[in-house]
Amino acid sequence: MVEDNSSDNSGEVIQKRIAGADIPCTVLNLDTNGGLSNARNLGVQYAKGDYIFVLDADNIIKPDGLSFLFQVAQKNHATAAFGKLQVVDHQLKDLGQYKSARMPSFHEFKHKNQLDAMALYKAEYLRETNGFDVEMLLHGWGNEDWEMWTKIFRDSKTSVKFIDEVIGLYRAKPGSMVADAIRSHSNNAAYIQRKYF
Amino acid sequence: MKSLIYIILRLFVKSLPPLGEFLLRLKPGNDHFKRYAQFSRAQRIDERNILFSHNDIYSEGTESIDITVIISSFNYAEYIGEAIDSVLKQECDNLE
Repeated sequence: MVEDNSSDNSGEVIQKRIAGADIPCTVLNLDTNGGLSNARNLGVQYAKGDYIFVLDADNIIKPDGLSFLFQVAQKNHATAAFGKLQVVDHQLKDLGQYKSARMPSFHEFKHKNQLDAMALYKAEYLRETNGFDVEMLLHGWGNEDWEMWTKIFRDSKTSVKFIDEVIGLYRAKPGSMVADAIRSHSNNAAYIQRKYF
Repeated sequence: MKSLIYIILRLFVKSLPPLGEFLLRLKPGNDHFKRYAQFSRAQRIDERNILFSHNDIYSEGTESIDITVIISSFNYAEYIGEAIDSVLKQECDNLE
């Protein structure tokens, strides 16, 4: 877990939850806030696994989600594997929508992100390609996932697998975060297009 | 004109990251400068900025880990417990 210098009691909640956990847990407590891409990259840097699953703190992975993704990724030597995410509200009420619900093509990333970051990635690939691009911050808020997926889909050496099963729950983001991402969209798009298209 | 200034400042911040934090100190409410400052901080974070902690079972070894789940958190105390619980309930082994 990467605690990105929260001002609420996240650190306390994390320590309580992991204390009795039956799997090894590491917490990286940062003394300054470097943003989402930086936090994920630090997690990648210290990860021990061959594969990495990215989970945002407000989302949930279903009990069989990781085993589904891992089996498919391992069998196909995939760089990344993802499955459908059921969109829910803050109280986990189903909103009748899905994210990451189909396999997109590389060109569909030119104008809009197609997939959420909540997926399984080969650790080696993330390390070799410097993970999530912190420079996206210079162009706008949010949209980190867009840059990462565009890179993965552009890279001909990579293979991506899609599982047509719900593997997790995605909490609809608060209006303010959506507005930030929308405001940043054209700058982020211009950056991604210059970099990959 | 304003967006041209931001483009130029962005280029400066990219090559001289500490400038981002300096700009934010000048104009604390500026949305562009908030992002530039966060970029600056990200550039200078190293091991000295990280306090590592592990749970007890970690000392039993992490040699055979297949999957690492990374949860990044910033002011999500309300939800992060559920996210962690969902990982602890996974049916697969060799997880950290």
